[in-house]
Amino acid sequence: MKLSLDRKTKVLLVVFLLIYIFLGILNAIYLSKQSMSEAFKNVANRWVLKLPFGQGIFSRVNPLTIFMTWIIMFVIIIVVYRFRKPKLIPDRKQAALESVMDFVYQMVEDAIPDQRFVRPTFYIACTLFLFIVLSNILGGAIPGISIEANAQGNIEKIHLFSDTWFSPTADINTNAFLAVFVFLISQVFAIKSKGLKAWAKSWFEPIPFMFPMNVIGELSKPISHSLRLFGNIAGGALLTYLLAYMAKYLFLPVVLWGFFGIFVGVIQALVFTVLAIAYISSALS
Amino acid sequence: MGFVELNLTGIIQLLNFFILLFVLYKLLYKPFTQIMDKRREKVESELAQAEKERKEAQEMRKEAEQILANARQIAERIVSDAKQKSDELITQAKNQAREEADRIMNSARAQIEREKQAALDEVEKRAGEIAVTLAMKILQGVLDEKAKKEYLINVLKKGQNQ
Repeated sequence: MKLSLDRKTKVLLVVFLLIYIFLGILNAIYLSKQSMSEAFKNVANRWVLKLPFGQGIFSRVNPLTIFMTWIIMFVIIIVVYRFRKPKLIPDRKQAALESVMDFVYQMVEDAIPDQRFVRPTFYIACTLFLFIVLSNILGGAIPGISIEANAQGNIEKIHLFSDTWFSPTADINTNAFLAVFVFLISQVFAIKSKGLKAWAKSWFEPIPFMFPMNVIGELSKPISHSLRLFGNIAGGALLTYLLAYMAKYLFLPVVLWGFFGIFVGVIQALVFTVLAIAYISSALS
Repeated sequence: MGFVELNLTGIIQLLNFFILLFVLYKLLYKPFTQIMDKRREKVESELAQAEKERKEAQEMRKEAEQILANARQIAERIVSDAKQKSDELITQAKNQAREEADRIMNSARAQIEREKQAALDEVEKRAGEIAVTLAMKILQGVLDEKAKKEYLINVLKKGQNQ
């Protein structure tokens, strides 16, 4: 494949890389001033806001997750808004967007046995993919603003470009609820497709004795689905931070890891989307 | 707080996801699926049109070939007819000429024959007269009139028999 870039794109890429390297050096200098225990003491903490209403966990939110989600939604909507009136003969940018959508659509069309549910599944899968891929790349590879919290969930330090942006998919809340949503929607589709009786019967197949196994099997799907993405992205973010600390005298690995973060992010987004399609497909078949 | 803690965030995230799904449906999926359907329809209709036109062109070509073949056949027939006719005409003309020639020859021959006969008759007549005259002159002194006539009649009879 021959990559042909115009002058503007090349300049943009070079500027991006230079900023990236500069931030890598800055990060290395910043981290070199801290001891390891100091640098990593809050690494597993999240900034938690306690709401004046609600009880227990229902009174607690992770503002950074929500705020970053809004940023990502805003970015997606801004990009998509430009293409709200697509042309019959697409230009290059529209063709690129169309090829992404077509890629997801083909996967959905190949997997979903019932034609009625192809379009709805495509809407869900494509939204999942766009949202997750952007949040993974943002959290895995792009230096930005992130907040360090103490064990009580209060803000302790704000990192300005010494860490990657916080990724919403590095928060189990996002992944778990998305996975549960996929699970529920797959069951709803299954009921609509097969009818309530056949759907209920499918839990007791091949023999009624298998019912508990089926329940465990089905319920483990959203758990594995969400934990896979969470582990990869949260772990990836930690690794970036760890690598940045370890390589404080050498910024290059951080830059490389950042680029790997893009690939890992895209692959994990793809895996989450493919699994969502597969779960819906298996519920329908 | 906890690295793995489920709280209200998840529900808000789910709401955010629904909002994003709705906005993307309105801004992206609906127009794009419409445009893709439209594009597919257009391509399909144009392909069908092209196929139709191709078939039409093929039919027209066949028709043209048929017409050409017919024309060629007709031309060949005309040429062969003309040739035949000309042959016939030549033969007819030849025959006519031959007949005419024969007729002329025959008539000429008949004429000649007639002329010959006439000449012969004339000669005979004249010869008779001359002979009679001569004989008369010869016999004037020798024979009497009666004997002359008998003698002449005998001579003439002999001449006729010969």
